[in-house]
Amino acid sequence: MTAISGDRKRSSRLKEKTLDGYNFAYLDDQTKRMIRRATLKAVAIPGYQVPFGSREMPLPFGWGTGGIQVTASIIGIDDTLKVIDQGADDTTNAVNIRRFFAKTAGVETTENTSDASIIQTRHRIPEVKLKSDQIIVYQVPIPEPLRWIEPREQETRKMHALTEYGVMHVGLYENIAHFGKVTTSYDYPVQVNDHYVMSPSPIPKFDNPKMDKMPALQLFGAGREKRIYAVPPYTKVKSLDFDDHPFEIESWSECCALCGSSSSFLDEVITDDKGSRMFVCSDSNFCAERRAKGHKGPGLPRKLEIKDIE
Amino acid sequence: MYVAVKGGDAAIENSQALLAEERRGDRRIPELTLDQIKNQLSLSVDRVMAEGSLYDRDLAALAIKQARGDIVEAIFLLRAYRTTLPRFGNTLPIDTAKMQIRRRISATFKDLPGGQILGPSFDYTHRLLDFSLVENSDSPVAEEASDNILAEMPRVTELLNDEGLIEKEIDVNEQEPFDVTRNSLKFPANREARLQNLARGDEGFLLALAYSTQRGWGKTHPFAGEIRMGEVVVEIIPEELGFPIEVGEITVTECQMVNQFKGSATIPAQFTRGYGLTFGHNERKAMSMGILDRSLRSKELGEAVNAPAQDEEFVLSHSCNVEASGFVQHLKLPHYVDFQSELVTVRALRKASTFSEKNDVSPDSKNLEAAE
Amino acid sequence: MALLDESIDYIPLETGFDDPVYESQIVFRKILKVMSEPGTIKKIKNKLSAPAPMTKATAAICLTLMDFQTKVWMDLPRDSEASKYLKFHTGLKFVEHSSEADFLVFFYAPDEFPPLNLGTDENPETAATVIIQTQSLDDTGKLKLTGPGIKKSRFLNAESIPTSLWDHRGKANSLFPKGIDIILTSNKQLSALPRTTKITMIKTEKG
Repeated sequence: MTAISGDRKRSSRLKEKTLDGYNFAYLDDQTKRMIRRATLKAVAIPGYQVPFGSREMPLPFGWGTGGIQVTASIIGIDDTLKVIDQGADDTTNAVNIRRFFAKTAGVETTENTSDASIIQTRHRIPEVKLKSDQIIVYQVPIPEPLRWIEPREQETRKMHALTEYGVMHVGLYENIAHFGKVTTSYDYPVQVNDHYVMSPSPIPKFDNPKMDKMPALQLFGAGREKRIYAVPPYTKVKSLDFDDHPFEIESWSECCALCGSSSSFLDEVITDDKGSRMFVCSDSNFCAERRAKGHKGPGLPRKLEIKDIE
Repeated sequence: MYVAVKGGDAAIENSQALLAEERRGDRRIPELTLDQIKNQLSLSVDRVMAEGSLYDRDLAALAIKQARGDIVEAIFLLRAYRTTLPRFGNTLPIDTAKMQIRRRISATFKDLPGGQILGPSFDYTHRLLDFSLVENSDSPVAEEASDNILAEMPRVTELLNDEGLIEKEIDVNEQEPFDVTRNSLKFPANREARLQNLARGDEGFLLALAYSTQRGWGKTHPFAGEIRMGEVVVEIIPEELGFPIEVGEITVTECQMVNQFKGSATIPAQFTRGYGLTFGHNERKAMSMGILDRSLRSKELGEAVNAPAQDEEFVLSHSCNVEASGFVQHLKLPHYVDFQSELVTVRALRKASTFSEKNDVSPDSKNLEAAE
Repeated sequence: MALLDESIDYIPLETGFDDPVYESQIVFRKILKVMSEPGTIKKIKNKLSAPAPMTKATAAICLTLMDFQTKVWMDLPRDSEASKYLKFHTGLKFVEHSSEADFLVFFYAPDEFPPLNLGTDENPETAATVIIQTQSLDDTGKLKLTGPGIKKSRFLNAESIPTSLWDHRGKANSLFPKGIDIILTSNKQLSALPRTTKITMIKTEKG
């Protein structure tokens, strides 16, 4: 995973292929141009899913091929890449995708959110606020937010064309009628720039507010479903809700057992078979940085009591 | 002190080393050669080439070896390799009328010009395990046919065509054909997109859907008009020459289904067509494709569309086993953030619900209370 | 590709990218930046040379985005040096009617756009991208921009573009999601106005 900086620059400038016989960032330039054109249209029509000629990648569909194709089409040798899965840099899938780009593009990789120029993610938005000039690339399994209401693409395409989103609200309202609240907890639909209803990818709804007016460019790639979409910086992103049932996010009565944060998304870790568990930051880099600054959490696993959990 | 689980490079590398070990198996047994796979597992090679959309017996054999015989994995390997290949142009359409026939049968006519040629087939074998194959044995050598096979064998559909009994095939479209490997499929899909999708679709999926039409889920009354298998030449027209030159030869299996007749006030009753074509020798696949091509024309032909095999978006969106295998198996990836969101929601709902606290008498909840 | 393309018997004097993979990526990121933050101005630093009246920025953008899959219409004849240069370096397909084009390139800003593809409500991404060369680009006003990609507002001045063209653009973009996405160039500079950007004309003394 170590980058070979001098050689890497020269080899890319001199030859179209990297040392191991593949194109820079794996994709051929023809494919990159096709994806780049689709990406520009996605940016010009925020929240609209642009169809593209998604390729078979050497990683399986459903494992981030959309995000990988988007990243491969935008990445250059001066970029610094961070890859996370479930918020963490060290999950096997994140490690594997980072390895893929280190191998095929020879780019610098980082775990530090602020140092990254491109962040490819599955299921989370980092806790640290993203900056202008950063690009976050989401891996998307099902790009169509209306899919669970209407599985036919021919129909959902019409619904988007007419901004006919009543059924979406009916769906959420049925939730309220049944449970007293909206029970969608991840992949919670949003409306972009007061027009397209969009899937934020399966991030927890905790992360939805971070998308609103984000200074970084947000790109979404769905490889198997062959769609790319985007939210430009500083664009309004609103989670669907109702006047009498406003959008709300998850909260924990615990703080992170390691760094003591009470503002981050927490993963629950079961520590024995007697009901003991602890909560730790899902964003591994955020947690590590806090600990490096001397923040400490309660540390000890504790027994779960039902009344503690909201 | 709690330490988060680390995936890491080392774990991945170790896993891959183990995989390589398992692939090789017992080292006292000679390693499989690609020649052995190409020659003795030729139908596996054919299937991998067909669904991998790449006609290359050596690469298909390599993929099968690397995938430890897992055909869907081998197809994936070939597809991922195919993506990286440059594209030089389109070939001319292959002409199956000029096929060097190795097998040709029709279920619609007892005899016909060119005759019935049984060729190599499992069809009339008794499915008895042949214990003579346990030990390496010299298989009998087939005798060469004494009759000459016609160089140009007329198709059954052409014979019907002469009488106007079957719908005419539409003229070859001059435009560059839609390419499902370079574009996202649009619905409704045109026939070339549909046939391409089915040609690289999963054999098992196509087989099951074709079977469903035979059991009444969108019947098409198919007759196997003709099935032929053999070699056809592949030609291109180089810009600088302006005339076609042969660049190779491929084995294909073609199936022309003759289906349910249609008629209207303006057109007298005619049979309809369903077309199947696959790389290599694979009649199961070609026939399933022929049946599905026809059943997916239900809407176009004004028939009621109410069975899965007639639903174009359903069939074409789920036919690819590389996509399906990836997405089903992606559930192995961590989902603990999503699951945590659900846990928070479900616990909040349970807390809010008086029902769950006071009236839930399921054994689980009793145990939980007892444990507390 | 050679099999499909018209034969090329002309080699332009002007050079394209020295290292296409490396250079087109850098140019693309600049296009992506200006398209996602409308009105920002970026500068290309590539060494390529382009035949007049084509500027370096226009050439770099075309070389980055166009190939044999793109249909292009230009306000210069097919046998112009600029046309031949782009055909040679990208293999693009020139089309006769502006309404068929994926990309339209204007070396001289028109008063109004010719008929062009605005996309459809169901497939707005099929709309054309328009590249317009201007005399100069700066952030000194005239056009006040708001919309996605802009924090509050941003100012842009694109010299030599007539007001009537902005009016025409405004009308087309009122049909959102259909609309026109514009890339502006001047010498080595580029900026962009996607269909979502609202333009307010700032009155100056000259009007």
